[in-house]
Amino acid sequence: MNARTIFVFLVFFASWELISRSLGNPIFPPPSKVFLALFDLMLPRNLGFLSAPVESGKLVPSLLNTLERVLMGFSLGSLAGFSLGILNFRFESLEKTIDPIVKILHPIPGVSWIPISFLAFGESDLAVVFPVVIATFFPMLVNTTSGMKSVEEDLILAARNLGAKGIRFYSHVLIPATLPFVISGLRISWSYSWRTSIAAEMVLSLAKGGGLGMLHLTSMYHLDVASAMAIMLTIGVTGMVLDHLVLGYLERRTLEKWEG
Amino acid sequence: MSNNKLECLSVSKLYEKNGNKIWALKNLNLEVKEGEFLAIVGPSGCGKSTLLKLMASLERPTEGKILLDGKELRDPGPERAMVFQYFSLFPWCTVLENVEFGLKMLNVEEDERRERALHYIKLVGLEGFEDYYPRQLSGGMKQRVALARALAVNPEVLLMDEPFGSLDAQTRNFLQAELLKIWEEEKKTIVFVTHSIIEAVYLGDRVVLMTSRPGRVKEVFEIDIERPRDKGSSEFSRVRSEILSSLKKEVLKTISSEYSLDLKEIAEMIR
Repeated sequence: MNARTIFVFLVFFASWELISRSLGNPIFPPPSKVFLALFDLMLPRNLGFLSAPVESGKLVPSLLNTLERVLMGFSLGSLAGFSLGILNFRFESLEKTIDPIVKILHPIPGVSWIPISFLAFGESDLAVVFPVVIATFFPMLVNTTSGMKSVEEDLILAARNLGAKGIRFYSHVLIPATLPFVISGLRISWSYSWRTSIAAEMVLSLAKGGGLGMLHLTSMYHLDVASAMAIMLTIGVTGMVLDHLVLGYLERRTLEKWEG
Repeated sequence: MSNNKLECLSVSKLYEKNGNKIWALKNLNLEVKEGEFLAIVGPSGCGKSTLLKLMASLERPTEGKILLDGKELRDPGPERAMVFQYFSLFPWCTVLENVEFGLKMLNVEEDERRERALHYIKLVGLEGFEDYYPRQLSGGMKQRVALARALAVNPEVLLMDEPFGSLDAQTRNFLQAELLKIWEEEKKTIVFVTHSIIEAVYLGDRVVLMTSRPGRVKEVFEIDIERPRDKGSSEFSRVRSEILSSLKKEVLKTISSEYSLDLKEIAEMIR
């Protein structure tokens, strides 16, 4: 974190604090209250910094619930999208056949699948996992497919000329050559699936207990806006950490060395 | 038994694009002798590169066949290693990994693979650059990696598609001399496609001139100039202009077919 970033954060929170205190409206709590609520949510029950009796101590278990669901959906969806992308390359007729369907399904947001998912899976975790799978699958499929198509013809010829064939042609040439597209596909998919899982948890009641989405909504029901904002902050920071630190790290490690 | 390494027997290649049929090659006959350095020149679009891809079996001839040591070719193989104009190195592999690639595909043991790769990296003068990625190298260096990568699989025939075409003149001259040195050491058969007559005359035992599309062999020139050849000598110039005048006619044909102009008109225009 450099000096500029720190400065920006300071200014941001200071002005928020000032404006909020001068307005004195409970629907717009100052950051000091939001951070206290965050501690209250994180720490074990009834430590009670603030009046958040219902949700205190629930942040970590909710976060873990959400992460479990989103990571399951994300892995399944991206693996499926990636695999079908490879099949699309291998069988050109397959791509041509499914392309019109993909083009229609791709723009439908993952959240649109939540009602059907609820009817199909009820209170099981799968009700969240399913729309996440959909949200992940299409960007991954589209990116992998176009990545495979954009591999330079001569690179493929050079590999075949040097005896690359069968499964090793894919593992040693085509997949590494497509990696930049695959990673950017993963990052898009991640942001979609994170949003989708939060949205799904807000509207579904789940047997295993709610996640961040449900916790967020409950705080709002109790007019505990500070807690709600603390949860929003958690959603933002977790999404950012996984995108920027995990996938971004992967991107830097694999691509920067050979793309420059 | 002839000493022909590669033989093209009335080879034709048809391309179909958006319903248009284009014969890239038509009834092409050509022999490449064992150990020979054969240079191929021709007007652009005459199918030189297509011919090379057919020899590498990266594409199949529409008609006719290509023989290696008298046997008809079907599938690509590292015994006919190719060097591409734009290097086509694997950007995710280091220099060493690039050169090792073909050996890996041949399931050569790791120790031997490394040893052979290092040998050829040294041969092309890139010792010390083993762990560099292609993006860190200049064009000339990239093409040497590509050459090392092709040589490492110990091919019988080296197919080179305008390998120095995208390099600057100095690098080009230097690599031409290097290539001849390597050719003499490694005793490979080389088929070298170029659009530069000077390059062809400098390198080749024979220079094949192709016709404009559809490509066929128009004329074959034996280059009897002793090596190392002096590009400034009168003998060199004589051979060069002989090929050039023959090529000019083909270039004119290409232009006239592309712009549907009359041959005489063009001759007037460029006089």
